[in-house]
Amino acid sequence: MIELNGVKKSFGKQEVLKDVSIKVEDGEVVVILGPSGSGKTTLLRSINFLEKADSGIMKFKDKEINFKSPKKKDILYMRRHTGFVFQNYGLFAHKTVLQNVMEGLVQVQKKSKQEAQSIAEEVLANVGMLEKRDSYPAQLSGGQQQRVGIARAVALKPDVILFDEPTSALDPELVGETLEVIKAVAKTGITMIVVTHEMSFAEDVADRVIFMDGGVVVEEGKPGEIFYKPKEERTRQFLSRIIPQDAYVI
Amino acid sequence: MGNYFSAERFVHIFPKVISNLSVNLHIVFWSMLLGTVLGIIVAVLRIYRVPVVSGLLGIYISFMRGTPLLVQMMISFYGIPIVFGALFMQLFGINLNRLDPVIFVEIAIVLNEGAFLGEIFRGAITSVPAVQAEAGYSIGMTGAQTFYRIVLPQAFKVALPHYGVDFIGVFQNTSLVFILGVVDILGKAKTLGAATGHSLEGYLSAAIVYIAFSLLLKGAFLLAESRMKNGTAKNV
Repeated sequence: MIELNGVKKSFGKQEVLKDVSIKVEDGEVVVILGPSGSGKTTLLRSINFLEKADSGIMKFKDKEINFKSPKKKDILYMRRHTGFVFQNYGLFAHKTVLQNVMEGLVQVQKKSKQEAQSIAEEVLANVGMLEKRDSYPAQLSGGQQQRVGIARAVALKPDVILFDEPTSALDPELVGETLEVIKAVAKTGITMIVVTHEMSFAEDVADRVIFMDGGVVVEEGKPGEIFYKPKEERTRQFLSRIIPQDAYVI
Repeated sequence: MGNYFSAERFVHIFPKVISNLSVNLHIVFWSMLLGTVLGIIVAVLRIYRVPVVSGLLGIYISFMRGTPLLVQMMISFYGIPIVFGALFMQLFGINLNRLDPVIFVEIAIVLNEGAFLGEIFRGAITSVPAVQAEAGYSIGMTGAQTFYRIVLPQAFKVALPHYGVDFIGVFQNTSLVFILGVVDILGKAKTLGAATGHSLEGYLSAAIVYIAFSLLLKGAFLLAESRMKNGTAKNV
């Protein structure tokens, strides 16, 4: 279980997160929706301390971490128990696909090279990238890179995986294959928090949808409720622009 | 060419000139070694933007890049003994005026290289996309692990060609030192020229040594670069 309470963050004078609280149960898949600038990415990055939130409390497993003054030990603990998938992949450009996945297993989890390699190969096979194990990131398409990015996160067997707009940088035709991989990961029962604009994905996979705007959580609920019976006017406005009424869903 | 040049004298003088190459190599070795260390420190301090230090480094770098190396050597050679002479005498009993001039030359080049290499290294480090460092953190690596395993290897590759050019530049700049009385290959050529009344053979010898060694260095760096490229993708 991961719980955030009263998270606040400003970039200079601009308040990006204004007292955000969310709670994610074990095994739950939560999708965070919202327009750009709503603070959803900042929130996700704060969990992994890639962004330093100004204040708030995070409860994770038996830990309670104050965002105001996180200990180095706690930051490492969070990072070692969560995986992160980046919008623009963030693969290590000087390492092969296999080395990218093995890096954390060997350097962080101190597994032997053989063990790390067999784990990495298994995970790469699951995302359909085993054949490209010796390629470098620059030799792969965006969709392939993102699948490696997902494999790198999954291989470490984190308690939670955080996805930051994992398909936003992809060509439209590559979005599908990447979403399939994310769906497959979701089926393994791992806890996931996904920031995305893919509505059909959210509807298929999410246990719960959180709608954020202007640095606050506007509304949350089951995908069916949020998409078809939103309570808040702001949610309705946002959705009507993303899924136009009477449009064909292909 | 009449009496200006004789192959005989050239053959006679060439070994004498080349025998002083060790002076140039000594300068290059120490300048590059210490200059590289200083450059890394400068780059890291600049990247972390330490408030006051950063400003001072800015001034230091513009001074080093905005004045000729020869002027810096002169200031080092004549200035350091005047300013620190009494202090060194008191503390260590060292008379700075008696020190080998080569040391002041090396101090000047090290400080000069600290600025130039600092900028090369800084550029190389910042050229590695920030998201890769974040990815390193996200898989639970420490800051040091991320720097040494993710950022540095890639920055190294970016810096290497510039470093090679700079290295050869330093080698050629060692020719300035004879003005301060350090007898390197050029100094030797000039001395021999003055003694024999035939200077062209000596200077030609020096030129040959410079170009041969520069090409050697260039080849070595190109080899190193191609070695690095083999392991990784071309457009990284």
